[in-house]
Amino acid sequence: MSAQPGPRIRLAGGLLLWYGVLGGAVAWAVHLLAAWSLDELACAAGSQHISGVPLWQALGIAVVVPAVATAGALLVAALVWWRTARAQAAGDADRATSRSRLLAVVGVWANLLFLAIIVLGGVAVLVFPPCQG
Amino acid sequence: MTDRGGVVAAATGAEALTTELPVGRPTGWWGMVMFVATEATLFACLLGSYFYLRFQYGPQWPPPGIEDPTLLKPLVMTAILVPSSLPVMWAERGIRHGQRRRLRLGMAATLLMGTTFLLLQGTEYDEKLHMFSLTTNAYGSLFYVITGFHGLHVLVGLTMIGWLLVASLRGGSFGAHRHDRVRNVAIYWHFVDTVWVAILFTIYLSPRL
Repeated sequence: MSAQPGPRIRLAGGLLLWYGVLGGAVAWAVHLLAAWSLDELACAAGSQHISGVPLWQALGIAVVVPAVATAGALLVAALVWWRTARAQAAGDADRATSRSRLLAVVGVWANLLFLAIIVLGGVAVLVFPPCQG
Repeated sequence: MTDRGGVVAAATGAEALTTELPVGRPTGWWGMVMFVATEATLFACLLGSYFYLRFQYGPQWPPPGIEDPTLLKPLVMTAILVPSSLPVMWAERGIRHGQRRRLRLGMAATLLMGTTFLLLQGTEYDEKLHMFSLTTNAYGSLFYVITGFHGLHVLVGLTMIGWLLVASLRGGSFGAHRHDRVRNVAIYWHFVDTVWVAILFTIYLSPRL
């Protein structure tokens, strides 16, 4: 491999890797809690607005922002997978590279799954009336 | 801009992306972190169940016949439990420098604070059981299961801390290079404290929102 990057660059790279692995799961959890509680609390109060914002718009934000975060995590996981594949093809792969590649594969599939869950859940939230019984 | 572009390119290069974080942790650390992760999942399910049932139940929560939870005692319990992480941190830093006295004092202080928390929880149960029990309704089940499960975790943490205290008093092998046990117990205790804050919000504060 080429010269080792500095500690800050390595920290950024390591955090980026974990974002690629866990970003989708965390974004889905945030989406679930935010969209669900906004919907339930507003409907329980008999209102279609939250602080003056229409409920469907608030729910849209609770769907779109986590979906974008998950798509970002998916891209990062794909980037790690691609970079480690090139390192392996160049014969530069050590154990750390192999482990990162495994995490990248986990990240790609997990983020695809969570993105699908968020999008499909978001479609349901936005298509059906939010307060129907 | 060029520098920033260079930083981004370096951070997304293979060398940076294959950085192992955290690196060099002992197996016991990983075991405790994974254990805490599974326990956190369990508490997340319990708190999620609370909100699910609350939303399904209707606008009046707690159900008719049960008053809103009083705040004084839970806030006192919080004021005792949450700061109990400080003596653990103090003890852990002390033993990293080989100061066994700090370890003993820190563990003893945490043991005292944690025990006080449990005693207060016992008095709260004594009051609440006159109003509702585990089988009264969904609220009662959730209240006792969530707080009881957390109390059980506090008890397990106190057992660990007591074990460390006894081991250090009996001349156990603690020192600047032998403090993994202390760090692992500290991770668990910080987790127990953090979960209590989530429980305080969920059980005691959220019905007033």
